[in-house]
Parts: sequence; C-alpha cells; structure tokens
Amino acid sequence: MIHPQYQAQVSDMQKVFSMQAPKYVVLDEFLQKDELKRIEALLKKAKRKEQYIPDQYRYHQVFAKDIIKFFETDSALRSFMGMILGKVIKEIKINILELSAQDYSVLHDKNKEAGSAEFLLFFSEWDAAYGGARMLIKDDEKIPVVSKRNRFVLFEKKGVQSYWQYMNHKAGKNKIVVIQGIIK
Amino acid sequence: MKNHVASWINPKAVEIKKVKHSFSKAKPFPHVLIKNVLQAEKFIALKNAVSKEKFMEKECDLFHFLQTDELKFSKNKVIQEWYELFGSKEFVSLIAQCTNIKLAPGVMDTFAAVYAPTHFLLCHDDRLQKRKVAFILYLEPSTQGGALELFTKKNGHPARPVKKVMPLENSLMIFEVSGSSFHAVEEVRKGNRMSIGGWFH
Repeated sequence: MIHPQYQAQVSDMQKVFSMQAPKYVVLDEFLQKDELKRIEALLKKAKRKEQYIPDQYRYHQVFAKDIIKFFETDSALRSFMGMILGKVIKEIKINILELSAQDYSVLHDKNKEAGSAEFLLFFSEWDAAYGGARMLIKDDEKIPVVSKRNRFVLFEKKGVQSYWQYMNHKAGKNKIVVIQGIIK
Repeated sequence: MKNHVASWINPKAVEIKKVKHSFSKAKPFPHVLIKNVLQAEKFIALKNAVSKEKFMEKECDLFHFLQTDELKFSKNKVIQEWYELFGSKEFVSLIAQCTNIKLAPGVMDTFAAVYAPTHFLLCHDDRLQKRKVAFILYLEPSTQGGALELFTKKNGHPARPVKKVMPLENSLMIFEVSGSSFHAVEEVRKGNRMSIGGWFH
C-alpha cells in the first residue's frame, strides 16, 4: 500500500519527525497509484452526512466502512507509523471528512485533543487561498497543513491544538476529502 | 435629549417605545436594528475618522478580519467625541430604556473592524466579563455577504441561523448578551464591511 521509497527510508522519516516542533512529517505520493485509485473510487461512492454544531464544527462525514476498517486494522501502516512515532500503536480510530466552502472546526475548551498522535491522508489538490488547512498550534508555532492529493501527514498531539481553518467562498465547488486517524 | 446626545443622535430614529417593543419581541433573542441612528454630518465625520485608523489583521480559528486598537486610545478628536457619547450617562440610559436592562455608564472593548472578502466571524455567544448588551454600529456595508446571523439554541448549543441582519450604513444593532445570544458574521464575498463594535455593561 505505502510507496516503497517511504518504507525503505523510515529512519529518515523518524529524524525529520523528531526535529520539528510540533513533531510532524509530510509525505507526498504516499500510496501506490493502484491503491490510491481503489480508495478514491470507494470514497466517491460512499454516503455523506452533514455534521454541524455551529459553535464547534461543520463538515460532511463520509461513510466508507471498508476503508475505515482497512485503515484501523492494517498492520503495515500501523507498524510504519509506530516506527516514526517510536511507540507501539494500540488503537487507531478513523473518521473520513469532506470539507466544502463554509466548513470549519474551532478550538473548544471542552474538546480536549483525543489521542497521542494523528494522521491525515488527503485526496484533493488544493489552493491555500481557499482556506481549509489543518492548523497545528504548539506554543507560538502555527503550522498550516494544506491538502494535496495523496499527501500523508503524521503529527504528535502532546501539547498541540488543531483545527480546520474556515474554508472560504473562493473554494467554489472544490472539496477536500481526507482520512483522519486518531492514534492511541 | 441632552445637548451632547442631541448633537449626535437622530431623534426620529430612537423612539424609545417603538425600539423597546421591537427589542423585546425579536426572535431568536432580544435585538433591534436602529436605522439612521446618527445625525448625517456626525456619521460622515465618524466614518472618515475611523477609516483613517490603523487596522491590523486578526486571524484564529474563530475569526479573520482587520481590527483597530481599542478606540478609547484613539487620538482622533471625532472618535474621542463619539466614545464619550456612547459611554455617557445619557446615552447609556437611553440604551437601558430601549432594552429594559440595567446598565452602568461607559462602554467596554470598543474596536473598529473591517471585514474584507473571505473574512468572517464564526458562531459564539459573546458572554465574557460583565457584558450585558452588545452593539454594532455599521459604518460601511459589504456589497455581498457580511450579514449578522442569529441562531436558535438547542440542548445548550446553537442550532441553526434563523435570521440574517444585513449591515446597513449608519445603523445600530443592539442585542442582549446571554447564554442564548449565539451569532456570527457570515463571510464577506464582495466589498468591505466596516463597523464599530463593543458592549454596554
């Protein structure tokens, strides 16, 4: 599933990850092409449901059971991320989101960041001017993670707050589809 | 009206009985938009003065817009005069009568803001410190977007926007700050929306 170049260079990924503050790594062209196309086809067919609590978030949840099960249980992915994080991953909880113009999530006092790390796998080419970045905040650092087709991002959550930046009208009908994995 | 208030406020706009009725009956929570609130020449002078203030970009999860420093620190004489007016015993008393809410003289946290295209303010209830009544004085309306959206409440959270108040030049929006006063400023699509906002306490 994962592009062989990354599997071969996992120790380099680990170095890059641990040098950042917050600790994170961005890997483009992450999935092998056939696997990417297979997942995209399943995502396209899947049902969507609006999730909207105005003072917390607005997005569509994508219900793709097979994909959720796959990313929650795949041992190769779990092992790959475990090596970068330097820990044994006990559990992964998957949520698939579709973000459109006017969607967002906010930092919320009651919503403590779940999990010790998180990964994102994007399926949409994107222009940062549309908004919709995943913002990572640690101390004074604020890092926008912008969507790109087949981009994988892994970040630690200790001391990190994150939110989906408001997506503005310039996005038009463009949407971001992203698999979000909460790692425990 | 006392002299200072009379020189600024359009007496035809603030008919206490009418404003009070509109405020108390408004849904989803008490609010009212008072049109042509300032005397025309005072409004133009204030708008010009505010547009010359220094605006800084503010962006976080909840909002993105341009904002001045607190207006009480402005060195502009027109803005100083306006600030004194809005915090004066006479004007605050007028707002207290319109809202039927006991208010102390003075205003707090008054800033001018410009919402340019793509700028927004997400849903929140404004509850902080001693805020009792929020106000927005519209100086320049956006041409597309930029409405104030008012939300219903369900299970302690805002549910849906049920009313949109379009920004209108020289109009004053006031609403009661409470656990139900969920509101937002929808994204501006065209034009710049300039206003002064603050709270009575």
